[in-house]
Amino acid sequence: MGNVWNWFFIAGIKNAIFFAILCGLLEIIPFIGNLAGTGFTILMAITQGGGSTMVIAIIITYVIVQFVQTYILEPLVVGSEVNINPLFTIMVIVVGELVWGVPGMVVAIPTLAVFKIICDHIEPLKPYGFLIGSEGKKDEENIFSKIKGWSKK
Amino acid sequence: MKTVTLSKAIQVILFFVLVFGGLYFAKPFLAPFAIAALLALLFLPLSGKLEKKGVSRGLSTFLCVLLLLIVIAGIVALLSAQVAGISKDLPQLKENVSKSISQLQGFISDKAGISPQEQQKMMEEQKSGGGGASGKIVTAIMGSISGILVDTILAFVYLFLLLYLRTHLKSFILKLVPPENKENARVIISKASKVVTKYLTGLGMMIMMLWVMYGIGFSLPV
Repeated sequence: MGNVWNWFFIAGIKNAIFFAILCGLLEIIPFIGNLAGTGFTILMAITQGGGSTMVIAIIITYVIVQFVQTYILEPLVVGSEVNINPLFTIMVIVVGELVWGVPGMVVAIPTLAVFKIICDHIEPLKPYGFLIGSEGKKDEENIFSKIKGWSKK
Repeated sequence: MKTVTLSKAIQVILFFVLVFGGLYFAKPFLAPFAIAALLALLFLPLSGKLEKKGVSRGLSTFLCVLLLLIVIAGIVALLSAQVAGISKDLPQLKENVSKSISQLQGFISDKAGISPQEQQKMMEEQKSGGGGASGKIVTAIMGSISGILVDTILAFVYLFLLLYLRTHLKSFILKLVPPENKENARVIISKASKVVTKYLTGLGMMIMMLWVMYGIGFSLPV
């Protein structure tokens, strides 16, 4: 077993686990986090004397992980709980970064999600909730409110 | 026809300036609090489950905070163990870096016609521009580390107190709203907390899956 691991780590990037944990953790920061993590990993791979094949391998890993994340993990795990359209997702992250730096980017999306829920439930603010929300979710909301209506009766 | 008066427009603009300006200047206070508030919502279900099993509020809150501490400590321990491995290779890394730098210098002298000596001189000039910069950097880093430490401790204290006093805080909000809106306020609170909980647990699970995926991808032989 030890031999197998040795073989893995000699052939791959040294301290692969470190970079894996780092890249995963940086996912907390939307958009920029994974790019920064991968860039750092590539830089370290080059300083470790890794050739262009290693760099390409890292980039391929990054692309595959991104693909799996966007199309499989995110819809499955994070799901459609946060109904914010892409325009406002990006805008709130940019604003968060400008106002608070990195913590702002971490806090931005959940805060906007809470704001949207508040807007959705207070009559004069409803248009703003609609504005932030993702397109075409109206039917779902209707079904949801219907179910809520039944449970009240 | 409804007309938009100038004073109305100014009110809107002033509102945005005050909100974002206020947030900007209140960052040292609000940032740890906001993160603690989100984490409190993350631990809400766990704390509730513990309490259903007969654990007291104080103990369940303590256990939640302890769990977070253990997770963070575990990640830090893992990372620092790996950093120790990296720093062991530091001489080798330095050699590699200087090799790449000399390659780069050769490339620049080929393409731009600036000899390595001239490049060296230019670098020195750049450095001497910010004399004593390294001392300043060290102080800045030390300052930011101690700042982060204080903020982290503050966030943990906030987290504990927010979880511990959650019923109190919720009753406060419900006291603020007029009776006919109480039900609506209750719905908002429960939905908002649920969204944050779902988002953060989802994010946590995704990060763990990413660890596995990156771990396999990065350590695979090339």
